[in-house]
Amino acid sequence: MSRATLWLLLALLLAAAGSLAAGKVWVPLDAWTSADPRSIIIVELRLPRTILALIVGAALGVAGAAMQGYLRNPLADPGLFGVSSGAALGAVCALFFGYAAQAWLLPLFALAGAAATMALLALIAGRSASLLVFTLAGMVLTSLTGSLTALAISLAPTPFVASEIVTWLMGALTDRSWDDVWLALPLVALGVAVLARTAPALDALTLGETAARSLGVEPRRLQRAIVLGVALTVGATVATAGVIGFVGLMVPHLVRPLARHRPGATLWPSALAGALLVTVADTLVRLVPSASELRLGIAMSLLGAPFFLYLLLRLRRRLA
Amino acid sequence: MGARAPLLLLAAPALVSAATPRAPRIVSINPCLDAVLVRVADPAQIASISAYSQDARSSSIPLALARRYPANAGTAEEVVALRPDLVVAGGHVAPATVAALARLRVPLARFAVPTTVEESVAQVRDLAARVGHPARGAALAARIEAAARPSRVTPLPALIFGAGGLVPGAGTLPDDLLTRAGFRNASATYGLARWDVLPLEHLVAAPPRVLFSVAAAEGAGGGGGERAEHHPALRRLAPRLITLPFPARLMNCGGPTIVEAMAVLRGARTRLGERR
Repeated sequence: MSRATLWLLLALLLAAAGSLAAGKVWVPLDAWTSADPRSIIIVELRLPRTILALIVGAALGVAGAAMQGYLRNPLADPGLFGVSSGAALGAVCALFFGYAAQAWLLPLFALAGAAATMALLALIAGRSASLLVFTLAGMVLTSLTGSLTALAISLAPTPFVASEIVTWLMGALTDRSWDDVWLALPLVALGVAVLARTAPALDALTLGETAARSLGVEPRRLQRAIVLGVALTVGATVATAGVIGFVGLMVPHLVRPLARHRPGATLWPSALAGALLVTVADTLVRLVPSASELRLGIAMSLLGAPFFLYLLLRLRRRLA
Repeated sequence: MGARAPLLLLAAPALVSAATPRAPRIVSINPCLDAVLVRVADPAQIASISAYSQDARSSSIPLALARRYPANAGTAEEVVALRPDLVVAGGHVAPATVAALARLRVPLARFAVPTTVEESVAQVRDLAARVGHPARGAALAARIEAAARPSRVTPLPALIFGAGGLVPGAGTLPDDLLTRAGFRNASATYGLARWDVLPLEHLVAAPPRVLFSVAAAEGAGGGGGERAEHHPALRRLAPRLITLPFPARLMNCGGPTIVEAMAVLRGARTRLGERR
């Protein structure tokens, strides 16, 4: 287990170095630190982008692992609670009304969207700790915010605004800055901390709800912690990078064998594997020899879907 | 020029040409600005143009001309590596890219999508002045103004059916061009918004005299709007409704494209004569 973590850390370091070096513009090593103006590309563009990829990947990985552990469903995804589409709706509103000219307004709107969705979810789910009510409420919110986003696109005053919104929705880390890193880092750190504390409760839940309760797990407190943690991690992710799917769904499956199938023990390896996956994917999108950069959100699904199908096929063979 | 300056200056660069004897090097990340740039700047001044200009579907300049310049995908790192004196961009750039350029102190001039000929002409003059060739800008502006001189004929009701069935309405550049060519944009009579999709029922109930169709110009597979535009109901309107081709790329930009678009529209209006 710890050996696997070490390998993951090593791969992560290599991936981060690769992400710094790769891009549309090749910057030779001796231009990285000197007074060469190309060092700006490394220091102000690639470095924050790489760090943000690590943060975003770790956040999505942990959120996915916590969701799958909490719902005891391997198909759960951090987007399921509506936080991700709520944050996207907030950002789309900023683009729709043209507020995005102020660089800090778009992430602020996205965070407000995530917070509002989370508040609505708490309101709908109410005092009940029922997983069913909770999941259905999340799905309804996802669908509602999704259609409001589509409404904003269809009502966009000009095709240019519509395409701006659609482009943003696809998710990317292009041209992100240290400001984005400083915005995402504290929120994600807080969210990961909240989720990490649920690990023993998630392990207990595998024995069933009644057994977990007898082990001292308080269902409503656990639910609140999961919602808060997912909202913080996923909200900060969407605010800075847009919607990036598949990471939260896929990563916990990758690391589950390493964690001997204990949901609580998948949290940290999921963070590492998520960070690794997003960093590698974001490096690859820059290397694709196309005129414009492939959007990270799309690349993630392109990479993720076949891989996930392969995992499913292997799983089926083992079960058969 | 009485038009309000439709330019959004974010990084507030002083006019570079006035400060340095050397002509400023420009990077454009917008295909519409490329079309103006290649006409007013010296080739040596253009460090890079938008990759969209090297694609026949989105370019507003001849491809052979576009291939002479290195293309960019509009990311900050490509721009920074070229070390330009000025970056010119459209009004709808990714917020992260605008913020990145501002942070890296790359002077950035943004030009909003022009909604009238006046706005477009003002942008041409402005861009030419920033490039250091105001006289070329004035000449190009004069050509555009001459091409877009308002016609005095009785306006015929017309409609432009763009890609995806999008119809430009009041407050758009194609609307202004239609009016100047001697047409009346029928979009308002259907109560459509600035850019809107027109349901065929409205069109069939009260067809305009002329339909400028992007699909008719591009053939099958042109835009996304051909499903509606090849509807049998429209064919049955044929005697009352004249459908004329209108190339999609004429809807993309103002600037020099106005000259070409006006030629198409004016030619159509002349051929239709005083017929009602």
